[in-house]
Amino acid sequence: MKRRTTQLATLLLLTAAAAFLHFQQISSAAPEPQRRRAPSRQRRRTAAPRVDYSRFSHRTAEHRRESCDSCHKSPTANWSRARAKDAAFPDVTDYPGHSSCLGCHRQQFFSGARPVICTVCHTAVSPRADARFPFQNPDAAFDASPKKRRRPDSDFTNEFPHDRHQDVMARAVPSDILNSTPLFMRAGFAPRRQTASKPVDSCSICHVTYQPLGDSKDEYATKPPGELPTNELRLEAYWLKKGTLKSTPTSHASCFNCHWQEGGERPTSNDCAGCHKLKPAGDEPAALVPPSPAPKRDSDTDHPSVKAVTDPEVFALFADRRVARYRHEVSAHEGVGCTACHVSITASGSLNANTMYVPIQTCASSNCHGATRPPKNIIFREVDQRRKPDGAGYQCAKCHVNYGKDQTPRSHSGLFPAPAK
Amino acid sequence: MRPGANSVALALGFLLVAAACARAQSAPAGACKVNTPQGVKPEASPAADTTTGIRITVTGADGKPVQRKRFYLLERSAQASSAGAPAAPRREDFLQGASPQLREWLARHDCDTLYCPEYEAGYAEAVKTVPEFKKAYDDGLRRYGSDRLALQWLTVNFPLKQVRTEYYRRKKAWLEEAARRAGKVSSVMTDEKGVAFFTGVRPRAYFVSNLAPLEGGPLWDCQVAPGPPIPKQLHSVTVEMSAAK
Repeated sequence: MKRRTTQLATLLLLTAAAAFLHFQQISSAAPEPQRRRAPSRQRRRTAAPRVDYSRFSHRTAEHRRESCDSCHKSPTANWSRARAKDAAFPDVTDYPGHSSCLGCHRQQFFSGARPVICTVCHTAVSPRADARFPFQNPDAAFDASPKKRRRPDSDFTNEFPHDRHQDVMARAVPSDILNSTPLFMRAGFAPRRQTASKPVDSCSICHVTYQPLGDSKDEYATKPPGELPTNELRLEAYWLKKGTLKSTPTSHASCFNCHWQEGGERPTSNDCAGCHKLKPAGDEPAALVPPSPAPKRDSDTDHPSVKAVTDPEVFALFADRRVARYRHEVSAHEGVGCTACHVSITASGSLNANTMYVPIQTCASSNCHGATRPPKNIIFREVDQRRKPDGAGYQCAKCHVNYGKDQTPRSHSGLFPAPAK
Repeated sequence: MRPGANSVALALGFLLVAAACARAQSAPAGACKVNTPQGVKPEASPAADTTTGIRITVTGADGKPVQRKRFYLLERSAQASSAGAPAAPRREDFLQGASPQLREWLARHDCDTLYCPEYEAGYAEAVKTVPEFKKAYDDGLRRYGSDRLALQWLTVNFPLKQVRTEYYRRKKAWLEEAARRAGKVSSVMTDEKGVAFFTGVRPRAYFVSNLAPLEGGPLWDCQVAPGPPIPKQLHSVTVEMSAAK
């Protein structure tokens, strides 16, 4: 009896143990797929890029697949109101409509009470508020807006073949044949003004002198605080002068008069990509990242006199100048013409640093500033001043502002070897 | 076909080929004078990868500068490379359908296209006297409702597209092909003083040419071999090109 009871108890224990193990297996097996899925879901979540719908980028793959005119209408309905009456022309001056976005972004448009995607264009997110940031074109209002500060750079660079534009203005007939045709000339008795010859240059169609001196006697862009001090060579301290800078086209006005879509030359105004090329991916504007310190420039863009430069495009070109003090509006400079100094422009097929570059030889040729004796020897005198025992601290000031403080580069000193003693 | 007709056809064909060749070669050769800047010495021992420049000055038969014309730096002679090539297009061939007034107006100006800087100043007068410009102005006025825009955008609405730029397009294509045949190195355009610079040039032998002669003007095909760079100068050689008077 006792033995049977022991056997029974053992059997019950074994059964209970088997049952426990079985349930243990079941209970441990059941959530296993969930545990496996959970980390995989987490992996997917971290792998998927988080899209910031408050920032529109033309570079997004989906946006690049679409043609420009699938969103941008040319002209927009507001073109005649976007500029002053005497400056208005058919243009793309407004954002694309909601319908351009809804096809793909319906979910973002209706997500929550304040969809973040609305902030791309709208100043406030509310069903009743329809106020928008100024559109990027025309740029004056946009440049002053908070959106400009948020996204200072465009996604695009502009492609402009200088050489082709100069070719369409090429002359067909040599001047002797043209001049052999008798022409009536306007005669008059007014005394002729003594001015340097001023070549008619095709560059001036797009680039005109910014804040010209003209007939004014006040040569500075803003009034200097007093008499400007001079250095050892009697060169004045820097204060921006009128007629120093050139303007550059900032709107479609100088393009559309030939490239308008209704009969103009290709690329026409509705083919945005014909001129506007997406910047390489590395150039993605990162508004939240503080800008890296700018490389040293010749221009002192913080100088009080530079506040006179209010045009952002002109200011940007001024900031990149290698020769901050050069004045375009000087009769001797105007007389030589643009391509006498910008020698590579007519050979260049696109806008790049080469088109702006002026080799020092164009100035230091013996005809202009290349002499070692007065009166046309200023570069030589500045280079030579540095060679004097007490001249190491001399700052070159005829052409330069910041670069004038640096050591004389070989490109300059090599042109003016030390005179033999 | 009769033997007589064969001979006539053969003679006619020969005449056409001869005329085409004559047209291609009718341009007078421009004079070339190559010289180095006076009183300067080249660099004593230039680096192997050194480059220099070539300055060109171009004057017409009247002694005035040839302005805004493109010149090519070539590896081979333009004349020798043009054997068997088609003749350059002529502006006259692209004036079909043009009114006498338009022909007269274009003859008074000297531009490959309607986009010359000097033209814009003459638009206000041209819309009164030249039928094509008047039509363009009327179309512009109807489209934009603005007298200013109708004048500024006159070329957009200009009715004869082949007159506007087709000559330029064909000539450009012809020039590119001719430049390729002659081994184009680079090209530049003369300024208002008839001057231009080829920069970044390795010191060796080249040809400088306008490839297509100016209408009624010369074809230059000047051989030049720039030496090592000269201190203070952008160029180590000047090619003076002139036309016979």
